[in-house]
Amino acid sequence: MNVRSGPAEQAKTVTQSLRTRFMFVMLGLAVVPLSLLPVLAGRNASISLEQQSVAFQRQVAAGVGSEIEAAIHGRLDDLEQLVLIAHLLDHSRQEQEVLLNSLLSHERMFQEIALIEADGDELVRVARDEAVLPSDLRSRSDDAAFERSLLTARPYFGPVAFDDDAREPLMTVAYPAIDLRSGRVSAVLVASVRFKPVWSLLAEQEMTAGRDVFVINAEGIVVGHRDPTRVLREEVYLPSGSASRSVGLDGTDSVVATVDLALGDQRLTVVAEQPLSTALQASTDAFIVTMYVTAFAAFLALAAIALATRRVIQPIERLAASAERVAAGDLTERVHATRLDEIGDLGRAFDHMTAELQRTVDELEDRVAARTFELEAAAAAQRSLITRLESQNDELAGVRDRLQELLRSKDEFLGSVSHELRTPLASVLGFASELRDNFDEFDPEERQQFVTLIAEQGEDMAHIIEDLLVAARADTDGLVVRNVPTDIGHSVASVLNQVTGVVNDVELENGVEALADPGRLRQILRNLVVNADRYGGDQVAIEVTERRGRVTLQVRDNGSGLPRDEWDAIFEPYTRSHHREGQPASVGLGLTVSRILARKMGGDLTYRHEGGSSVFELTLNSACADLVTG
Amino acid sequence: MVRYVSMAIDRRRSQFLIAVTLALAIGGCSVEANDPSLSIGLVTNNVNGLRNIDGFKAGMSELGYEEGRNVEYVFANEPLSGDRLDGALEAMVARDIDLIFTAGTPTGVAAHRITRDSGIPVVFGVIADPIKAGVMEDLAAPGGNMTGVKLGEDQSRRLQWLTEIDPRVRRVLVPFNPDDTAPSSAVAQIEALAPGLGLELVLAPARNDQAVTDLLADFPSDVDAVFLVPDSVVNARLSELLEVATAAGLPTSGPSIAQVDGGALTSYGFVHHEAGAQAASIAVQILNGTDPGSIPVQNTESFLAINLVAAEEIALEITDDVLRQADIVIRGSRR
Repeated sequence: MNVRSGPAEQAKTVTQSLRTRFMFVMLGLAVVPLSLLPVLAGRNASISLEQQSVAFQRQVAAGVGSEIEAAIHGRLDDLEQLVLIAHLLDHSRQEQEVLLNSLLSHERMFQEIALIEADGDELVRVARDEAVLPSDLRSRSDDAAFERSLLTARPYFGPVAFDDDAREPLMTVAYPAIDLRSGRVSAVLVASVRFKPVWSLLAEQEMTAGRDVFVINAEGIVVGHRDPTRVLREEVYLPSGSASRSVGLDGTDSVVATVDLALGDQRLTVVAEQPLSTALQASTDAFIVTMYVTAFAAFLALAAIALATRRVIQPIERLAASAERVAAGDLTERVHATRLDEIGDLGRAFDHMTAELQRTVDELEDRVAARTFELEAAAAAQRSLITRLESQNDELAGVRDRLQELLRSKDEFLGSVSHELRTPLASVLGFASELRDNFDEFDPEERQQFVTLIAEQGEDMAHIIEDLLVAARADTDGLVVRNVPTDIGHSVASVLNQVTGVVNDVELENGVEALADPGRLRQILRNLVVNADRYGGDQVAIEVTERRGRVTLQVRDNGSGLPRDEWDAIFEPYTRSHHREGQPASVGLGLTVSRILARKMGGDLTYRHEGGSSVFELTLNSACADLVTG
Repeated sequence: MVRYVSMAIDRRRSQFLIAVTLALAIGGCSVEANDPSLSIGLVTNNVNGLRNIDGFKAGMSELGYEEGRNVEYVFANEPLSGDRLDGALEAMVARDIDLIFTAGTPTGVAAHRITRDSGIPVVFGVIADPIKAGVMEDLAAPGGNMTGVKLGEDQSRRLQWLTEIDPRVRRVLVPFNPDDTAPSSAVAQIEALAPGLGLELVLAPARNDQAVTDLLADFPSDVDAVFLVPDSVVNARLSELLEVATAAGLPTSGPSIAQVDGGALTSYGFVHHEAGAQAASIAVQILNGTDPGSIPVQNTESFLAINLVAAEEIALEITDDVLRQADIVIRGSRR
């Protein structure tokens, strides 16, 4: 369920949640109506029950009221019958007493009956529990019942009062006996009517559910109640008009119905009431039951909603989670839907779509890989080309630099060559011009000296030109050497003959022969001796040795020598390091040509500075290598 | 539903009551006691009390409490006295019975002694004088757990009835147990009235059965009538007393219908059965929730009974006027 990890899901608000909306819709369709049910049902039930209670209270009050009226009026009827039918007034006292006793015996509601003359004196009085003797008869002129009935000539109903002797409530009823001729009241029958039957009537009412019924007089004093103490306490209850809802005798909100009793001037009211709480108890119970049922139904509905949501939303959420994993790149994700409904179809469609997507992506990846490989290959080729071009550029730059260096060296060389050649040439030209112009002025010895000088200067120029040719041929591979066994001592002597006064010491072994081109060897030796003469120290020595098939010829001078990093540079073409006094220098091409020639002959020419001397060492293959030992 | 002892109810009223009853029943408000576990204890100390108990049960049944259906009675089916009475009451207290009905002053007194701290309501029907019996101090508001029906203050009226039934009566023998509050109370009622009626009371104290025996053995010959008061000692020898009185041609007045049934000429007082039924209405009030201490003690209804057989035995002619006023007339055969 916890699949809400995608950005869209995280940004989703509560109201945007399908689950939430689904829940709200389901709640709206199921739970809300269920919730309204007990409210509406309870309200209707309450109204109905209240109406029923009101009707019932009215029925009870009316029933009790009718009962009371019938009882009281019945006693009035009894008195009337005594007068009108039994002609009570026409009988003797004893007969009257018998009649009254008979009525007392016949109708047990009478507690006492008295026949009172118009002047207020009792003629006869009988009592249920009292023996009334003639001496007990008294005047009743002040009796309210007698007075009212006498004055009004109408029946009178007195108030209800508890009689301590009778141990019960009594109500006074008076009936006037009208003289047939005068129409005046000739006597009044005053009876104490037992109200106890009313109490019993009230007490025997089944007052379930908090119901109560009682009787009040005009002042609101309770005169009849199932609980006699309330009467004895003279509790007061004032009904509030005709309202069905009112405060009951106990002070609780009640459904109240009242019925007024018409008993002459006496006004009694029967009040039937039931506390609202119990009147509506059934409604409350029904409401509670309905609430329980509704709660249970709501619980079931919620469970059903949750289940439905789970059945509907969870697969969608799982599908969404799978979609997010697919979106994250996991194309192997499958929901493996097994349901047969639309959600199952959706899941299978999703799996199918994912499979197709995976296949498409695989194809694209293959194509991309191939294309990438091609591009990488092309890029590699391009990089290689670029590298090569850069290398070539570097080479070209080097070539260019070299060319520039060569051009510069060539310029220098040309300058040097020009200078080198100009000096002997100037000497040649000077001596030749002097001889031509002043030939005669010089003696023959002097002219011989002039010619010798001219020849020497001409040889120098020839040597210089020879070096130039060698260098030129070396560049064009046109240089050819012919190694033959060559006597080193002879070659050294030949050169020293040409370049005299330079070498101070010669140390060589006799008969040392090397494989060399004799002419090129002499060129090398001449260059080394001339170089030592021009740029080396004042002490120059030549040493020739042969070891292990190699012939070594060293030309030493006591010059200051060159730095180590220039030891090879002096062999570069058009390079001359003679800008310092005492240092070896070439004529520009002399050392270069010498190394080329040495290597052409299978040897080498190197420079080093050791022991305070500059050493040019020429090595050649020995001509008798096979004979050499050691 | 609506009930009152021997109350004359005319037909119209009856119809109305039936209608009301039906209406209430239809309205679901019938007096249907629905507590089948309701249990009521019944005790009496004398044979006549059995009638009270029958009346109580009948009254309860009429008010909706039918034995075996929604109420069960705990009753020894015989009068109890002394330790047996106390034991029965204590057993009822022990089982926390719902209500106790007592018939007879001694049972009421015993019930008061044993149940006053238990809270179990006790309805007596009857106690001759509850205040003198010491079970309460105020008849209007008894308080405590007891209320019920007491004997009406009708002894003087009964004495007057005796003179009206047999105007020849002048000297009246009154056997009674002066140590018992019930007969003493009755004697007190008539002593003041007797002179006014021209009567002379011959009081014959009988504190125990032996005294009664002695009285029977030495029955006064100068009396005109026998006036029995509520007295368990004396009434236990009722038949012998009546036999002696009848043999002497003396009219006998009893305090209740029981004496008339036993052969007495007349009675004006309570009917045991009705007194029990009257107490049943009080019991129903209590079962409906009213505090017994708040229910005033009621007087028994008094009924005039005339035994024409007894009258014949003593050659006394009962006038029609008297018979008209009688509530109960025994003719030919006794009830």
